[in-house]
Amino acid sequence: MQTGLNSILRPLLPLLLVLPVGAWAQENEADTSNETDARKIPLPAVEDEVNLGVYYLNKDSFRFGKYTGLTDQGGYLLFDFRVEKRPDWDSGDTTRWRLEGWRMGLDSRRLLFDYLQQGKQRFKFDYRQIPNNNWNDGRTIYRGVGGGSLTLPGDWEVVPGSDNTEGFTKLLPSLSRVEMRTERKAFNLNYVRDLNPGWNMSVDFKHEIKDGTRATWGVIGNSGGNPRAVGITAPVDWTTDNLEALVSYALGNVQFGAGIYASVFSNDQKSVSWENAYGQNSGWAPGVGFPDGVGRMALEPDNSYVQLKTYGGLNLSKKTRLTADLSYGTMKQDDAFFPYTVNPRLSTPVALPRDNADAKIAMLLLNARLSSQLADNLILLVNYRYDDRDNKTPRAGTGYAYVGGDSQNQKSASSARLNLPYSYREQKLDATLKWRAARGTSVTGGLSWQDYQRTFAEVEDANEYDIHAGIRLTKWQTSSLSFNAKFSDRDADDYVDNRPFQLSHVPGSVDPDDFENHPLLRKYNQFDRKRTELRLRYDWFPNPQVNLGVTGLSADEEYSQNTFGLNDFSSRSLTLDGGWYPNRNVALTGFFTKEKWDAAMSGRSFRNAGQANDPRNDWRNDSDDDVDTLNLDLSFKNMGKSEAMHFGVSYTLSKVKSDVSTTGGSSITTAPLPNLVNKMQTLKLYGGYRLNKKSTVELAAEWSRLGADDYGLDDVAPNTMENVLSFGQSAQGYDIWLLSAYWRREF
Amino acid sequence: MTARIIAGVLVAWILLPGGDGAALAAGDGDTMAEYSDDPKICVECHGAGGENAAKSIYLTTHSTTADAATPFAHGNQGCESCHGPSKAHAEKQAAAFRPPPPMSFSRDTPAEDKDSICLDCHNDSRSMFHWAGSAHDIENTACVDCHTVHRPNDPVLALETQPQVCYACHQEQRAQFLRQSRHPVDTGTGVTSHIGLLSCADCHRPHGSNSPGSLIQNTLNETCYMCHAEKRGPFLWEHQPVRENCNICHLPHGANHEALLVRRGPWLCQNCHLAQFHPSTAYSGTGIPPQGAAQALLAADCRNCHQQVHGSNHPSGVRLTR
Repeated sequence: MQTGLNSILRPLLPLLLVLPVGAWAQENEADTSNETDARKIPLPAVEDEVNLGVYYLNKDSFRFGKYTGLTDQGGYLLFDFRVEKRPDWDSGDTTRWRLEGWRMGLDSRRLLFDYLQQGKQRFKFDYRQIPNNNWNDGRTIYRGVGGGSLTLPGDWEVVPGSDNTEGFTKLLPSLSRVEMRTERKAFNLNYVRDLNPGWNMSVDFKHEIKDGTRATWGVIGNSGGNPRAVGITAPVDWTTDNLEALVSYALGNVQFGAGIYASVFSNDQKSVSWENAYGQNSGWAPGVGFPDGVGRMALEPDNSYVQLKTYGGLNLSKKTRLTADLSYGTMKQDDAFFPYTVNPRLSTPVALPRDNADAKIAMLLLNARLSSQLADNLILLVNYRYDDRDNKTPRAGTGYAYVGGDSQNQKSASSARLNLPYSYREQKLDATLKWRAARGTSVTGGLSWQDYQRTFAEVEDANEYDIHAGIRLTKWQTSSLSFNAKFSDRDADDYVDNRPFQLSHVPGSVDPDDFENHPLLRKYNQFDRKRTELRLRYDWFPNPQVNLGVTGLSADEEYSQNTFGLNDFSSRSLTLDGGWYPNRNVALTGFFTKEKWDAAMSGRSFRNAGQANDPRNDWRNDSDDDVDTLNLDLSFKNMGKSEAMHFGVSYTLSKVKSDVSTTGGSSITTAPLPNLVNKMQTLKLYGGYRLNKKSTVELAAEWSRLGADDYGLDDVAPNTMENVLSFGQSAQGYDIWLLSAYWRREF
Repeated sequence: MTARIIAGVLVAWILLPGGDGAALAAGDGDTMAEYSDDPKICVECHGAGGENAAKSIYLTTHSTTADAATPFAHGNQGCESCHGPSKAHAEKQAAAFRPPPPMSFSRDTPAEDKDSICLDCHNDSRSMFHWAGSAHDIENTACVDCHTVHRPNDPVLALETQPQVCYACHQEQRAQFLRQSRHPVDTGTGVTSHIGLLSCADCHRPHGSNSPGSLIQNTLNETCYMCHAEKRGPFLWEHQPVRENCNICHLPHGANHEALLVRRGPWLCQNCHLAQFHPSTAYSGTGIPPQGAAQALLAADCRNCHQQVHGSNHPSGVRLTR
């Protein structure tokens, strides 16, 4: 993963060569010319900068390098730079540019070129590389990792008559280590041009490539206890292009603009298929188990989105302004369908009703805002928002006579399923008054109404009202206070629990009272809810050497109408932060945040109609997360006789403890679950010595440890589950030292 | 009755004395005060190292004289373009008291008054279009609360330093970015593995926008699709909450559970899926080794089979397994 200096500098050289050298010279001249100024006030010089050195990581740590690329034990080039040209302020020159590079020796490098001709145009190029290490200690039985076709080892065997992981006699010798990692490379171009008088145009273009390997799961089987799953790798070979072009006009009382936003996603790998590792199951059609069976999953299809947008603003009077945004766009996806099954041994007499989904969602957004200064100290804001997402994807009248998990002969036409192209419409109207009651005292308050409309969902119409208020006091010399509160109440018109189930089946194929989810379940994103949010912030700065602050947050969601599903949720957080600056060279800063996230839900375990009505099968689940976050930093600068030294120490802690418990009625057997724990600590010692006016040596030593307890991964071998062959990876942790040393040179 | 109330409110609105706007609040004495005639006189006192040092203003775009739109352009008043006519402030004082400039941008000055100075010039750009009525405007956040105009590199405009400016108020987000499941935004703690590869402005427009949360696209989902376009679909088999709002299942800044999930599976899924057999089963410690091995609890929990949670385009993918 280490990158050679050559490979970094080579692509930069052409850029450096085409930059106007004269501009650099001008910077050096700037000081001279300033010296001739009548007032003899030397202005600051522009200083370019290079950081050159090494990182050293003492252990392999895939997880530590998740986003940085500092993954393997060993040395890495540390190379950052900044080169810039600024015109002398009164030279008559309006051109400035800068070229900056960060972490050029790592996989998380970034390069920025920014060129500005003030009052005329600006051009930016921004390259970002973002690795994402997921895990690297899992194992797979499949060959062909990284591709779209996964095969079993040639000597794969299954005990005759076995249909689960216990029958995998060659499992251990077949496992090979696999690494889940992706990387983004994003190229951003931005150009803005001022077109006088009042006109402006801008173009933003982003080309992003994401590739690598991700973990997913292949399942063969459909229901009745016959699905068998296996962890498989899916190739990531994605490209996304986003383009936005806008022309705008602003002069006097009128502003308007119009443009287009287009986004195109393409995936070079349309599917992943895998050979079935499991022996034949009695619920499967013949020829599905090993060695004949094969499964296929559709990967993300190509798609596009084109949006036309316009906006305008008008000052109706000296005290009143009206603005509006209107945009209309369409999301489309029409990738060709795969056959119902990849397994040729399965019977599929019913043809696909269509060649592709011809999926389409029309997006219409209108946002209008009126702001009016009713009096010197009183402002009224009224906002209306209309957000309509009309899903126009056709529903095949005969439905899709699907094949269950590449394991069964095709369903009969009467058992076909219909797709549900969910549409969604949201309207919101809110009015807020902002009152500056006195110098240093401002008060806000308002009301809002929100309407939600859905199709094919349990709730087709819901309304929500909220009242919000806030006060901000800055009138005291040494402190300030703000407090905000918001209460909202969502009320659903009607909850039809089996509406999606009924609508997704061919009419007449299910009884009108048939349901999928328990009739007493209420989905929390749709049904009645009362929500209370409170926020308090207090700052105290008794003198220039000390500042302290406290922030308290509280949010409660109450779903009192929900018999089953989410019943209530609350989050609390308290943050203390502060700084102590005993003199201009010493600083102690830090913060501590304590949070609690509690959710309670309930359900009823049932396998038949009798159990569905039996409260002895009720259960309740509580998920309580406690989170502590701490950072302390003590720094010293201008130390030593020549004031050439600076140093400091920093400590960071992030700890999450998740306590999940399930309790049940008399027919339910439960046992405690271990806590989920995630604890990261970092201690960093750093310092530097200024060798001369232009050069500094910087050193840092960082100890970092991540520990994680996760019952879903700990002690779970690939074949721990009977019907799922997992990767068996661990909850990733690390305990590392990272040393860095570099030379900073200013020019 | 309702019509009368509405009519009454409208009449009152029209008759109320409208404010002249905060832009004129810089001081009633403006018309009486005089400008000094030298744009560099201020740095005689406010030079490097002094109190309220401001000499670096000459390195910023504000000082480019050749750009007619800047405060230092020929014919404009330099520092006094923003701070107001300050001849009296700049003159040698016989007495100990030196009158302050009309606009000192101090914390005592109302945000509207401070902002009016900036908005005098920065009122016609696309980025300021939604400022009036934006969350920061309502909260009385002044431009100078975030922007440092005297420095050549304004920290809030750089990806690497921007989050630390935002954290001054948005402290809960700072803590969330220190979770193990998070977007790679700098946490400001110096932890190398938490360096910033994204900035707040990659998703948000701090000057306001037409979406909740001041996002850069019209909706939350459209904002997420800018980088996660593979989840946009539309798919043949859709998952209703996915189409509606990513936040129903995810916490965008950082979460206690993997994949930025608000809660752990299978309970997150069971909040909405309570069908017979395994979806309605009560999962607990009986399902983990050594007592058991429930496939909805271990490894990827429900996603061991239903891995296409964002939607499937396979004609046999109705159960989101294909």
